[in-house]
Amino acid sequence: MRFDYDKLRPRVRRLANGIPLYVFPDSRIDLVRLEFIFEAGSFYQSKIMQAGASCYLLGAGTERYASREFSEKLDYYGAYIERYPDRDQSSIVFSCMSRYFDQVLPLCEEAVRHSIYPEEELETYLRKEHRRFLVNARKVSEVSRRAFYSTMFGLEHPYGAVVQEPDFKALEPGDLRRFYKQQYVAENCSIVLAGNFTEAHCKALDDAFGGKDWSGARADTEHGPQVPLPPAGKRVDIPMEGSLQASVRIGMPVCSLKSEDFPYFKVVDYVLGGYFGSRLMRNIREEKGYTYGISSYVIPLRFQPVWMISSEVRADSAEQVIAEIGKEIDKLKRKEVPEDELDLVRHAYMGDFMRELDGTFEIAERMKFFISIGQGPEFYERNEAVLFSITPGQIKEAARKFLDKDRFCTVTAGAGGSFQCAAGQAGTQPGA
Amino acid sequence: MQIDYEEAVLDNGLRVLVHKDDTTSMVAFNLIYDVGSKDEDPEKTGFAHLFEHLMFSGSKHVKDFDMELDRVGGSNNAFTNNDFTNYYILIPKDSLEVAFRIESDRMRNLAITQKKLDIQKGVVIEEFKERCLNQPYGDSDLLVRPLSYKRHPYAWSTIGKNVEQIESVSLQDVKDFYATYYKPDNAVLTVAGPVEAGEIFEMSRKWFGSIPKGNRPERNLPVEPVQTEARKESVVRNVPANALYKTYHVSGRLSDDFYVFDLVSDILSNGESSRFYTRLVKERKLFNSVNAYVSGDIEPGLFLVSGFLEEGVGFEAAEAAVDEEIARLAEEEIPEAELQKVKNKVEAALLYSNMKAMDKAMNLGYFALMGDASVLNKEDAEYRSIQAGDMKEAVARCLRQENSNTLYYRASGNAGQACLMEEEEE
Repeated sequence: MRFDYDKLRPRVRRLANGIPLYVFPDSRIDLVRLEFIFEAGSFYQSKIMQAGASCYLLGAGTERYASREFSEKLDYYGAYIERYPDRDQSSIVFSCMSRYFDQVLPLCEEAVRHSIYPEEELETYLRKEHRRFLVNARKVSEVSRRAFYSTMFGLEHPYGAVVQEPDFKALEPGDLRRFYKQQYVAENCSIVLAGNFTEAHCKALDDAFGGKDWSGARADTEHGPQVPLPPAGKRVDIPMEGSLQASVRIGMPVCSLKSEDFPYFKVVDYVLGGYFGSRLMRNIREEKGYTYGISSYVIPLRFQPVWMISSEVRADSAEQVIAEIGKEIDKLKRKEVPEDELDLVRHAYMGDFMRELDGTFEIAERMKFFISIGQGPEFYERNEAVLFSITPGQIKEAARKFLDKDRFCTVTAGAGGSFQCAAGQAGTQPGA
Repeated sequence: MQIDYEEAVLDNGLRVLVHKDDTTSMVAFNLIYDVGSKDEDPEKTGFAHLFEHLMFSGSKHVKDFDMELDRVGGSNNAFTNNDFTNYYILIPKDSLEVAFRIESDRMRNLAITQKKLDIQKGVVIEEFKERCLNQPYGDSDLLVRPLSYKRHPYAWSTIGKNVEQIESVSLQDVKDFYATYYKPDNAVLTVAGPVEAGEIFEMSRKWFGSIPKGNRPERNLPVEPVQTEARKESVVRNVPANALYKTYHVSGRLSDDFYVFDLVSDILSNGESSRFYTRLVKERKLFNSVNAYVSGDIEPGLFLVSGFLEEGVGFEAAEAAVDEEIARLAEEEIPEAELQKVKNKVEAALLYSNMKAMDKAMNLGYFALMGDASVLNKEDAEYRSIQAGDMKEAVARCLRQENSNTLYYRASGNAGQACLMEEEEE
């Protein structure tokens, strides 16, 4: 089973102003997917929610159209708009039937280049975000996520900053307009076009986005923040009265995705919790029935990737789960992974990979990640090469090198009783 | 949109559908059983779904189902709903026969033990908590269903009425259920991918052909009496804001009404230009968000509205605004451009939902289960043929107060388990 990496390599064209346009043509589908990726994540913001709101309100009021007119036109052509604000990048995706692409393109231009951020649109956005904030405060998984990032990075770090109640009063349309003007410029833009389109559409894209009239300063994608990380090895427990489940998160900062080490770490991660039949799933779910699911994964933050194990578990079993995770990690450091398990892992990994990239749109979606890490398909080729050449001895060595428990940040939310309470004693109360 | 397929029926009653799709190297293998939570004993709800978990416990010749697939780069999962249980596998073409071997083995010889049952009960109970009991508003479905249905088994959620009923399941229950429903004549197999119909029919005969037919009793579900009076209920929960749920009885998935009400729900809440969003969320600021949708159940189902109220807005005002929008639909015909808009959206949505081999296999299997797979190819035309007058008539006929069930889901106003502050404890 081998993956054809050439499928992942787009044809790259350049608009007149230098914006890269990655194309993945596929005439077998009657749809088009057009994505604009900007170096405009929350990493670059000077105020909480500035990046998220700027991205989310693209098109909600433009120089030519009021928000409602804009969405009416877009909806009329059966088109969809998705906005993805994230830590490093933000992106906006338009999807539509090929036969309406001509009509949808000018709307893309309006949203991407001529958004004006009316006050009432920001107000609607904040109402919704505030509600989400209040609801999330009652979800164990969200409470622990928040605590995890703020603990590991510290509140001063762009990746550790979290929304607080006063932030909802502090954000103003001017903040969004400033951020938009600064980040949503040609120098920070990449375009990915996939599906059934014509040469004329590429020309139209060049006409709409290839000009020098939206030029600005290129965002710094090389240098990370100068904020030191807090001391490693923290443990935080957040009680949530009456909770039936506890969210457990254990993680740490990991090496750069581009480093030589990364593919080795990735194998360790995969064996431990990276697939459905992983050691953690077998132990915590299939043998003990403590959870519906547990997994480990890498969050590829550009300046400091993070590795994490997360699970929602029976409220009174959080301590046992943490202990069992520790045992599984020790086992990986102590004993070699049997050959047949390694064989299983190799196939499972390739299967996952091929499935995730089965389809032109799925492949096109991957460009954002490539742009973020500054590498192309060779990233996956390298991972695969290591996966198929690694020995059980090397996996054990990698586990010893990387899975340093002293560096772990451990967070629970909603665990039965407090941390001091002996495992198993705190009863689960029937909740609301 | 046209999805071509060939269909054959084995001697034991297993229906097999094949769709050729050369755009992928993976084959989608979908097996759907005609049994869902509507077939459960009202005292043992949640059973069909718990059973689905047990289907992964191994069978006579296949000790570990997932591992067999992992070994060849395949993957699989399953889901249960009120109407049916669906098992699906995505596997590289070269290993396709593995799917036939392991899936047929667990249809013939499932190995269930008390220990496996006990563990899966634990897993399912955690799933119950994760989805319903330990999430804000997570129990709304558990409340809305029994309010809406007084006799029909749609009165309970697929996950079950409560944790206790799941705990009460015995090994004998599991064996009986398996013997009754997991039979070839109660299933539809669909294979989609770079395959030929002939080879698939042959493989089906080889692996499934000798499994004996079943003898499932005819489905004889209690009929929900016609509702004649509006029902209202109110609960208090520890959530940050009030929520409103309102349901109306409508017809089943194969009726013309399904398509009509699907478009009605799109007029109300699909997209940022929809009526609910522009009027009730943005202009009047009554709701933080509000949605309308059709349940899409095979048997007569529900048209549902669910909305999260803005702070300081009373239930009566919010409900009146929803009623007003519905009344407008019953009184005024939808303008042509607005109707065209939702039809275009539906056309695009149908294209998206039938892009991948797996989507097509599942959709074909679903329509075959309901009686005729070719209906899938007529869906777009069904939607296109709907006129504004049809929608007005259907709304007036079904979205009436006497046919409605309303749940006021009240926030207790107690900060309770909310956890807003960043408190770091060593």
